[in-house]
Amino acid sequence: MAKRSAAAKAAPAEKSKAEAAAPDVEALVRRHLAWGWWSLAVFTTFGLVLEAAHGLKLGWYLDVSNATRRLSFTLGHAHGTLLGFVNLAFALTVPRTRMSAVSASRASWALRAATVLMPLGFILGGMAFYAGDPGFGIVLVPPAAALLVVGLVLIARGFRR
Amino acid sequence: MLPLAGWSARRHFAAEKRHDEFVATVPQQLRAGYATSDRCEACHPSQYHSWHRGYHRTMTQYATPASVHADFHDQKLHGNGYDAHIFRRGDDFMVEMVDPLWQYEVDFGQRPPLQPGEQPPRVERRISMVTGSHHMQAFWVPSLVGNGQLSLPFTYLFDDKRWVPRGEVFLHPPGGRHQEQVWNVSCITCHTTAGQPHALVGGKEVRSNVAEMGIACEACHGPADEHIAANQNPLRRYWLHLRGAGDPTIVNPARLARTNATRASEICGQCHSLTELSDDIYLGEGKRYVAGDELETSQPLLRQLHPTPLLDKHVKEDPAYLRGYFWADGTIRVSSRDYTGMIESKCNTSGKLWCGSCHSQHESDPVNLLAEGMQTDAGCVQCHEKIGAAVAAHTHHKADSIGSRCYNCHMPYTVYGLLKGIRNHRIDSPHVTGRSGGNERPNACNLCHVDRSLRWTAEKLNAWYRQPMPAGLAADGTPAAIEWLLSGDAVLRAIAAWQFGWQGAQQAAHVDDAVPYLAAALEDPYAAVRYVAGHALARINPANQFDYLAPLDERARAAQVIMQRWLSAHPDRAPQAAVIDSTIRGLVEKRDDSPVRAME
Repeated sequence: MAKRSAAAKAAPAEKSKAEAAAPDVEALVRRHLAWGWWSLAVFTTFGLVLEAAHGLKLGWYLDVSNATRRLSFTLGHAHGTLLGFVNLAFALTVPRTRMSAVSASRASWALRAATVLMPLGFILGGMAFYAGDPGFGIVLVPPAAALLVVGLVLIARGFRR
Repeated sequence: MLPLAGWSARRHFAAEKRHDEFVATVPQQLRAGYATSDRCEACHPSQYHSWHRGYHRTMTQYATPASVHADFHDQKLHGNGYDAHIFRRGDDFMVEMVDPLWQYEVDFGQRPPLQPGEQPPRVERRISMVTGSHHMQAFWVPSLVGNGQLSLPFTYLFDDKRWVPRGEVFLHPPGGRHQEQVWNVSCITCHTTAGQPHALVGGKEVRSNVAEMGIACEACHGPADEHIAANQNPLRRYWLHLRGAGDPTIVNPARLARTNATRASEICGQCHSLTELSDDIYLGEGKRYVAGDELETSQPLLRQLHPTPLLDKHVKEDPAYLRGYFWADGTIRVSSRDYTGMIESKCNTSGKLWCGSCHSQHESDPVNLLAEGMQTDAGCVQCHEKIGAAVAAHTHHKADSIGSRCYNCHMPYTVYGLLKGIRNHRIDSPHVTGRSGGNERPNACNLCHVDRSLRWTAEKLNAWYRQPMPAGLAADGTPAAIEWLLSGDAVLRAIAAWQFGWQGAQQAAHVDDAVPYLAAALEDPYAAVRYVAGHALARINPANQFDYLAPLDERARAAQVIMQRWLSAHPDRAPQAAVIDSTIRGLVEKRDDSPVRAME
């Protein structure tokens, strides 16, 4: 990182178009490996908590009157874990893409935002809810889903021939 | 392989044809504008679940292995002039019996009765529907004229685990034969959701349909099709959640009660009351009332204390009409009319009481539907805080005793139905009038203190509450409940008999002393009174067993055995046997034998 900054300071005008368009792959890989593993760590732990709620037969989670909470939490756990894998997949495949730096940065940002917002939306929606409707936290989910789709499309485009 | 496939296909199509033929003979769940509870569950799982475990849902069900709890193991049933052979065939519940349509036509004079030597036509039918799931189950058989349903003449009692003739589960004058009932023109009104009898289609033919079997969501919340369509829009739903103002496309009784408690109570009152039902309700399009409407625009209430020309017409047609529903003072005395009782209460007319003050369909025990926390005095002290704070000063009973529980004094078991006593919903204070017996309403004090006289009660009420002493009270000390048990009219006798088995009376009085009198009640001409008295005796001593339908001599022997058991347990009472016997004879002689048909 220090080397790269120094080079940039020394000859900003000489920075070629191709260099500007190339993503900093190493940084991306490390970032998404970290995000992926941390997501897996957090949301499998959350899964453990949900299993404990089953084991202890917690009415707050299992009662029929709390079916919406149970569904929301399950979805939060599942989406968080899945997005962890998506981050790992991105990290492992990004060196082989032909994405521009801008696209890679946008895809990375979208993926990370979805990784936070989507499970958070489900979990908040399950904390306080209205009979069959999750609580207002659920409003985080549609934009998170849109960001995920945007991120995935950007990544997919990076593999074009 | 080919013959096997052919056999299998033939079997499959035959079963399908049989099913289709059966469906054509049974009312179906189909009414425009109604969605059925299955669709409510998706958005209201908690409410659906709490309703699903209750007894409203199971009021009428199609007969399936899941809904039928009676014993159908190849039984031959006899009694009350009927006989039937009931059995299972796979998952089907079958009966071999006299053709119910033929029986109906005979019962209602549409066909001459049998001539000597003639045999009634017998048929084998699949039982289509079942009513009840809590105390007893009654069954229905397709008439095969449209989808009319006629009664199986036997009912299964859960407590007793036995089949009894259908007429013997009601408090009806003795000797009468229980007539065939047509489900489509009586039960459909309140035992289904938005049932439509359509009994006028094609002359005698019946083409009934319902929104849903049993009393489902839309009975209390109104038709839900529009509500479901509107709420498929998530923005609308979240806007409503945000505003917290309720949804105008559906009725929420609890929310309605905040602005109009009467309209909210009428939702329960549409069935739990005595109302005038027009021919269109009985035979045509069914009830016009939907939740939130003003009940009396389509079903005028019939109240003894507020007579109307409609009530007068009924009384003119049947002078015993009022006795079938009311105590002499105008208080309702038969079950399923709780709204009629409640609206005569001062708590309702001058206060804020509505059904939901104490009951809840969703946050409650499924038996009495008492809302959480309302099992004790909580319902009353919502308004009567001062009494609640010093209850013993008000009741003159120990604060933790049953005599200090509001319900026991202000809502005693003076309603009869389902072969038992039920709390009266006309909430008032106990008092003693100069009148007793007949169809006079019994007072709460003597229903607990079943070993005390009316004079004793009047003196207590005079001393504690300055109630005037009525004139003409006998000084002989005969317990009022014993008088009612043997001298009242049939409803009063049943109510009095039931009290001796009630744990409240068993705590407050020496109910064991009443055994000779209860044994005398085992000879009551009304089967329902005998049933209740027999069960009260069994509660006093489980060794006291009695078959209320046994022949007279057998019943007399059972009563003797019970008496001997009592005398051997109380040898000191033997010298009083003659006095007791004479008291019983005197009370039975005074018995009010006016014919009573409790219209529960």
